[in-house]
Amino acid sequence: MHRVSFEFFLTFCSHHVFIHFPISPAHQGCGKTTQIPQFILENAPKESKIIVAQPRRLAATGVASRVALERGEPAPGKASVGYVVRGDSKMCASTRLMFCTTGVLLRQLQSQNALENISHILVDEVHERHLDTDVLLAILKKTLPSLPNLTVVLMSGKIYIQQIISQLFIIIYSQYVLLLSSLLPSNDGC
Amino acid sequence: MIKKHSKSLGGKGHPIYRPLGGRGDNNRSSNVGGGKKKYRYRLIIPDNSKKGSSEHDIVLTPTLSVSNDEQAKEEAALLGLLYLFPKLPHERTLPEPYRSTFLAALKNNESGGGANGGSGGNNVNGKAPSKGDTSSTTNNKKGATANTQLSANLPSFQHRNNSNNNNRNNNNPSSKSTSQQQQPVLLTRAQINEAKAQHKREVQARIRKHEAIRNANKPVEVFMSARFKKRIECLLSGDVFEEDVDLDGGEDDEVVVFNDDDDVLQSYVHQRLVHEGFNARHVTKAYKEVMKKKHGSSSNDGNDDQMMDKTYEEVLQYLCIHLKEHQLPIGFDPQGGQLDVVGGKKKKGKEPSDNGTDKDGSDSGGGGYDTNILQFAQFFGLTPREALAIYSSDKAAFTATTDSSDESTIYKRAFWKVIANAASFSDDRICFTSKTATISDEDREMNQEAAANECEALEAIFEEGEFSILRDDTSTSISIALPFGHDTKLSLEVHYINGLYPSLLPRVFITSGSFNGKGNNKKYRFGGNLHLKVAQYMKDMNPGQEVIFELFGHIQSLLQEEEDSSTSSADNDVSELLSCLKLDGNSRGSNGTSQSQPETSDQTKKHQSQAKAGQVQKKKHKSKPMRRPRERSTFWNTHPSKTPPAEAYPKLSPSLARARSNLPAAKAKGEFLSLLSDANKSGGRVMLVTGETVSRLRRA
Repeated sequence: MHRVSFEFFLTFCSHHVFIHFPISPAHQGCGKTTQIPQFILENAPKESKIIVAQPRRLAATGVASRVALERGEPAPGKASVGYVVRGDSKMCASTRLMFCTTGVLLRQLQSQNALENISHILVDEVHERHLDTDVLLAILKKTLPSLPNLTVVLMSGKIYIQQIISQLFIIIYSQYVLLLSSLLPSNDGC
Repeated sequence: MIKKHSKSLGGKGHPIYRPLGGRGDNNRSSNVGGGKKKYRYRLIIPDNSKKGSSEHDIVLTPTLSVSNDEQAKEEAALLGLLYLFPKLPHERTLPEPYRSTFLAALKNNESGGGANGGSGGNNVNGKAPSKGDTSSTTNNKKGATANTQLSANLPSFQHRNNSNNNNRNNNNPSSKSTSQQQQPVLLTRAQINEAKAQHKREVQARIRKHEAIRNANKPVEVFMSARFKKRIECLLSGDVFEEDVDLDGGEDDEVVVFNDDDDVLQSYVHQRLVHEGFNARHVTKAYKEVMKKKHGSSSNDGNDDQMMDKTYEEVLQYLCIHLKEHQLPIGFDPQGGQLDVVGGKKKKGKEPSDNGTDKDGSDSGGGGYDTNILQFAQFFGLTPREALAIYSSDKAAFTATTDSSDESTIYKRAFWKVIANAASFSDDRICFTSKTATISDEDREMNQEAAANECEALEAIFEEGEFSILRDDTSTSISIALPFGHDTKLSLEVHYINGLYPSLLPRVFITSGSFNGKGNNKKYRFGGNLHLKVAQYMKDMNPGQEVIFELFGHIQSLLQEEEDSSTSSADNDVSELLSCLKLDGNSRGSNGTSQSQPETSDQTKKHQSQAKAGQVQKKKHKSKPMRRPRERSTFWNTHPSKTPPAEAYPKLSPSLARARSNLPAAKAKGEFLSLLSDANKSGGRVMLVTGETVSRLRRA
């Protein structure tokens, strides 16, 4: 684990956590999507309310089921883990970890003070460069100063970061995000 | 052999051979022919089934005599064999010369030739081959020469050679006597079965014939109803028939003959009501009932004309009350709005009277307002005065009926018309009222797709029970629950025509419960102003975009304002909607005349003071930040401190725990959490976590 400072992170991120793992076919992945939200939740089970934005509906529902299983819950929407995708939602009053698609989160952000009760937003697969993800990052960049309790965690693939470092794409990407955020209407509350 | 086969026949005894001592005609003729052939045997096969009776015995006699005694016996036996079993191939088992004799006898019998005939027999006898003679002389013991003329009167062949037999019997009296004497009844099983079947057919044909005769002369029963029978009896006896009327009876409109021709009153009422379209039987029954009561009260005063009119009115009232709706004639149908049928419990379709009471003078219990007005007011959150004023302003729209519309739909349509009028909302922008909008099929498809997407998004956002969609072929109705207070359930109802929304705006209502429900939402009395504000808000909207969620947010903020200023009185807010409509909220009647209010002056003062207090609180409320309108689920609304703590199930399977601990992320857990806390402390609050993805791993 080491800290990397790039132009992109200067403009957007404050910390960069790089998780190493040995490449082995036995592993599904390094555990970003399933483990990081649980780390946050286990660290602060009474103060955190987490949203994990996935670019795809299938990923959102599947990861929610997996995380619920790992937490010993019968199913998503029965306890602390839930999900909201287009056409389907599983949540309850005790839900603290919510998996949703980026589109649903954007739709939710259209309301005022939508994130006032949210402590963490995890944006997964940011390296895939979906339009929704880019817009979401721009909105978050724009509204983050007005949300003092919110922490944003971006999760990305390792190799892609190396590629964009080599191509110096980070600067362009950061400028693109800034441009998007400047196009948004000035509104203090999100 | 014949002994053996006769046993198999059953009922047949041992064969008996009896010599004939040259007394027959044949014997004589043989004697005439040469006198050598003098032996002839008669074979008798007794019938043991009927002991003591020889009627059924089979007697076989060869037509020719032979010179050898043994040969004559053998030929008789062969004849018996041929007679009993004509179809069995005995020639296969018989030795020579019996085989040749049997075949010749068989041939002679089948052909019915001259061997059977007396003349033939004589000729043959005359030309008898000398072979037999020589054999009989030379080898008397042997006696086994073939006799090709062997034949007998075999009845089993008679049906085949009937004509020949007849000729034979006619020409040969002795043979005739012999055949008449024998006449054995021996038929094959097929022939017996055929005879039985024929007999059965004949019997059945006779039965059918007699049955047809009986059916042809069967007496026809004529059924007649008791009423018709009585009528015919009255007609035949010359009496006047009085019909027994049942209000629930049939619909036949029959001519009624009155008992008393002088009963002018009944005939007058009857003719007038029948002319109105009522059933004659119903009128008669109603007249009887009314007259019974009238006689009981004995209030017969005034002149005849007045009494007739009064009776007519009473009978008419009785009919309108007691007849079912479908039995009422056109014009008296309550669905037409011409006349109201007062039921026992539910008062339906009544117009509000001028003094705020029902037609029968009873108070409907809603502060003097009609039930429909109260329902209308409660459904849309209006005050009764507002509801009455709106109802009176366009009564035709509220009372218009169509086949496919229920009461709530009619009231919604009429109420929206009033609201749009108050907000100066152009009808061309609304789905249901636009007349000039021409939308192409492509735009319709796009609109339908956009509306469907919005419905899906709404379904995803709202929880079950809070959101419902009712679709039909032409229109869609969406209902979203609105939180207001603790015990009050409001719902946002959005109606639009499929394919027109979002190009055209929908109709929006904030309703309370069902239209005919017994809800008691005392807090929801600001529906008039609320609908007006929503209409004014929609007036500024640009068609072409999905607006339901936006409307929901706006209405929720409006409701929040009202909830915060909960002390505001309902009745004092009439002015805003009614002033836009330029209506007088105090008017009670359809004619617009101002009547005295049911409220007392004290109540008015109280309301005025409450109105002032509400205005003050409204002013205070305006400084408060607006509540978030959009998100509805508890996840977005509840603060983390109010949410139950997230506790993982303590007993995880070892495989799961092992899988988690083996992940690379688990090894970086501590560092991640420390960096996260650092990020929060430093104020950056943005972290980037990178790691290998699943797809990348699979590719590797």
